Amino acid sequence: MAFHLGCLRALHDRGLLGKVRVLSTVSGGSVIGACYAYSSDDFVTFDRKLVELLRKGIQRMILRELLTSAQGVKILLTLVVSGLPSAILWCLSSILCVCRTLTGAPTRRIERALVAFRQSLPVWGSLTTAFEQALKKLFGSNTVLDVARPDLHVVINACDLKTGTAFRFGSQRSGAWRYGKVVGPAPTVAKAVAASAAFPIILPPLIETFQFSKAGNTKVQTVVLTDGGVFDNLGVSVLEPGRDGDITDTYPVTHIISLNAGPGQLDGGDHPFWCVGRVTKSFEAVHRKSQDHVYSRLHRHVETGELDGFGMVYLGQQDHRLPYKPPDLVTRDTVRDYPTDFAPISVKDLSLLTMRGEQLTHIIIDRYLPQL
Amino acid sequence: MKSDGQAWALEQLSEIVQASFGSLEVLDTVEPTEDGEAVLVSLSVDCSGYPRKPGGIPFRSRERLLLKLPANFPLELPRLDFAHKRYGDFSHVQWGSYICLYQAPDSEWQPEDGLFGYMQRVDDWLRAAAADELDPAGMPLHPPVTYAVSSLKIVPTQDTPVPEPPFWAGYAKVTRENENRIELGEWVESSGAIPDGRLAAAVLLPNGMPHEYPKSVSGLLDELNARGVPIQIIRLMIQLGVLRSESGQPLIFILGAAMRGIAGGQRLQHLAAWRIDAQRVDEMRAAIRAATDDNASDVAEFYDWAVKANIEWCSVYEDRPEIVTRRDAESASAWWKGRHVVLLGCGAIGSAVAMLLARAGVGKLQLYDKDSVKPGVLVRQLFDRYQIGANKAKATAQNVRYANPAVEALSSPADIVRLLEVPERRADILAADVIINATASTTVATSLEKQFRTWPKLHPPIISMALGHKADQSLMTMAFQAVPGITLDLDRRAKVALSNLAKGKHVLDEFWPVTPDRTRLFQPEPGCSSPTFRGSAADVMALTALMTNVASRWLAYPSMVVARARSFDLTGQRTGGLNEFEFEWPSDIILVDGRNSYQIRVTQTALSGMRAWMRKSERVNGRRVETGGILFGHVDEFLKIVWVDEISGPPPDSVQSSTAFVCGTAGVSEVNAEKTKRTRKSVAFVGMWHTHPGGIPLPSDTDYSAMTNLLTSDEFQAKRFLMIIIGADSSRPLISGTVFERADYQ
Repeated sequence: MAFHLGCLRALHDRGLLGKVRVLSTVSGGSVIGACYAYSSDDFVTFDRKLVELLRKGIQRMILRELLTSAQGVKILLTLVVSGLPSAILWCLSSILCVCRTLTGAPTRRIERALVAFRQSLPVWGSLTTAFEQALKKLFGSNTVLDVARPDLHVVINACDLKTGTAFRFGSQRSGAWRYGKVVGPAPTVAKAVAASAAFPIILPPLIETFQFSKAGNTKVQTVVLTDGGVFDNLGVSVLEPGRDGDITDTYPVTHIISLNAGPGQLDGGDHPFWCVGRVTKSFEAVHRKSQDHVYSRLHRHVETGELDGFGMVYLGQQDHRLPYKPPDLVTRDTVRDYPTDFAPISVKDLSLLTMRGEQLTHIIIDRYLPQL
Repeated sequence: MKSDGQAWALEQLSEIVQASFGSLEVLDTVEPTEDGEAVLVSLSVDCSGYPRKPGGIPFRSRERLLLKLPANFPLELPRLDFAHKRYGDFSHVQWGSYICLYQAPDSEWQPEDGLFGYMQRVDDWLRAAAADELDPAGMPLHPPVTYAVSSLKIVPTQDTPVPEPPFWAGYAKVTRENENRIELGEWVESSGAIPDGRLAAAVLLPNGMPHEYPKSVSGLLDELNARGVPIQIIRLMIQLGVLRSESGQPLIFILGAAMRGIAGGQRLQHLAAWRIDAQRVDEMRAAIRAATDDNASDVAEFYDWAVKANIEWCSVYEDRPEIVTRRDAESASAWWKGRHVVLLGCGAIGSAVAMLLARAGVGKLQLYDKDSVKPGVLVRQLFDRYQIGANKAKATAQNVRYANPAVEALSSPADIVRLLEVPERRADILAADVIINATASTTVATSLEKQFRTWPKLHPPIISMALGHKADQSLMTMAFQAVPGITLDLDRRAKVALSNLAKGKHVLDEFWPVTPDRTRLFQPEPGCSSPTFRGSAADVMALTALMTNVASRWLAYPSMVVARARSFDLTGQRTGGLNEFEFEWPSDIILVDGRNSYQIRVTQTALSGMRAWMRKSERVNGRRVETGGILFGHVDEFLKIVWVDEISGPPPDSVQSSTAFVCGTAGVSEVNAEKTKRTRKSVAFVGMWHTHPGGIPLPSDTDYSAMTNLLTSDEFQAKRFLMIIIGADSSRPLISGTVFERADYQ
């Protein structure tokens, strides 16, 4: 978020922030994106409030929700009523699976029944719902339709784990192509941001039920929402040229500026062997490769003239590949390991991260989008 | 012996007859006795089912048709006739009985459909003919028929007068002729003064003629007489035409009838041309000269001839604007029609552009080139061998006139640079609708920049075209008056823009090479020729045609507030992606240096950059603190222009306060080196900028002192320094520029 704040400062200083017509956000970027889009504060006030939020950290807000609201009780109840039995049921079905494999015993139907029962156990609260409650302190009861900036469309990207497809909360419409458009009350900004930023390795998915309308039919469906970065880490899918507007959200744009706080290339120092480590690294590898493909596609769109311009402002950018290096450049190595865990940020780290964001934005726009 | 095609057709015909339940009957079939002969089929068609409307052909309940199947059916179309000539007066029925089924057989006839397709067409035709829908509203009328027997072609080039009843009689001037064609120009009414020169007699009718024109003179005179045209008038006009023809020349008689146009729309004149051969013209001339007031022997001689003579009809090749829709009317090239164009340089590009514009119907072409046609250039320039030694501008004008005599082609062998020095000549050039600079000369580009920058009037769009060293790439720019900078300036902008694009390197390498293999010059005749490029006529024509087309689009859909550049690529070495680039630049901010009279051109990008740093300073330091940075661009001492293309914010070691901005130097040389290298020396350090928050943008005493210190010290080596000051604030900046010369302090 601090890196993004620096980027927004540069865009503001260049007079570009007010010209942005579509803000498509993913993961942690959804927090700062929503802070900007759903507030009518002037930039200096927005900047000051965001610095305060970063210094305070969202972690503490989540913790306060856990300890001082009903969220803690709900989570405890979920753990007792659903979590513990769920673990027991998982163990039981695993044992049956092993038996079946070794002896050929006909247990498959029982296993399936156990899985179905496990999935039907109630979820009253989770860290993500606590996160959502914490975000309500920031966004109140605003819905995704209540964009406060003029002529700005907002798309907050999440991913539905049930169908493995994008689920988008938007100021024009919310929903997913598999389910249709959300009808009835518009989702709150807090819910959208919580779903979009529920990084699956740390936070459980947000389970929500919406009424959808598709091809004239209305249906109530439950979705399992996680971090939008799982599906589209840059959130640019809705902006890409050539998409069929009848099937999915499209926002035709002339230029795309991608603000990406990812750390960039892996340094190669780890030896992930055990389960958690190797799954995490595998996730990162797939994630990075997918991101590279999207970048390369966007560059191609510019080459073929389908986009007028594309600028990639990337925290993990290799410094030696920058068009030029200002003498006071905050280097990649200085900030790349800063965690994206919503913890309180020190003045020094805040300064370094925002400055790198600001510097890289100027450099990229100077060189690749000078016409803006 | 039937051919395979004929056998196939008869099989299909049999199937059609079976399926028609009596609507179609075969009465008789005559098969060929020898290879190559046609099959003749007599058909009876039930026409009672075709609804008849007024004006439609009054078919009988059954009509007899004669079908002639050629041996190479279906590659050759069958012929279909009525078995009688009752419908010969209807359009679409020719030679009395022939049924005109297809307007454009090459595109309408599908051989694979065979006789099924053909008989379907017959059915459609009969239905439409009965309902008088063969010329449906909005579609072109079927023209009347004259069966041309002369090989001479008549080309009317001007719209005819609209004849008032009962008729219009007069002449058409013969403007050009050779053994193939006679071109007709202005129409002159007989009641007015008869012009000098060769004339064709003409009668224009406000109504129609029979669909088939008479074949004999007497028949024609009867038809005209029936339409109120006295025979004497025709005789007198023919005789006057005869007198205006020299011995050995034929006479042309034009007959117009209101039978041309769109069904349901206004009827225009359909022109037919009758050629009276030279021998007969000589005979008539002799008769006229032999006649006296007492003995009008020429009149008797005329009628004697008219009674027995046949008409030699000629083909009419229409070139009247009211009839012919230009084939390029909907293309961007239509923009050039009637325009006044100045073309500087008639070499590879210029000679080709001139011909393209001539065909596009340009009104006036002013051509300039001081060189002559040499044998070596014939390989790729549009000159003919007989033109060797001729001035290129003159030879191009000659070619233009040959292609389109309507173009006013003027040529001058003057040196363009010297010509531009003369105000009157400069005014001639500026009177054009567009100027095309095809010289590829930096001297001409510099001269255009110098002369037009200070010209008090508007200049027309100036398009510059240049080819790469192998004629497989080209670069074109277009300057507008509203945007400062012409060829030289726009080439430079294109270079800077390309230097920012990784994929633009091949264009940069082509037009601004830095490697030794590309800086070596190609002299086709070593020691005796100017350096030039390698490439063929095909290369040159392909690129020139592309450039002309894009220029046409730019001009047809102009955006007057931007200058443009575009590269073209026919190398074929890169696949996919974009290997051509187009740029648009809005107008610069123009500052006038009051100290040394430089014109300072600050790009919008540079200004936007300075405002961004101002906003940052206002946001971080408050509105009273000065900020500033470095200016990068280029200085042309001769033209007295300073370009500011890129800027930087304050170097990290700068000192900012509400009373002064002391610009640091940390990292400046590295940034300067990067810009110089990237832009191949087009962008480098030219000075500094700073703000006077809330104040006026004029140098303060502190600024003057700083300049004195800078330009009298040995540390700063440059000859001049540009100082840009921005007053007020970032939302409404006031900006000034001053160039301080080292020489001012010595």
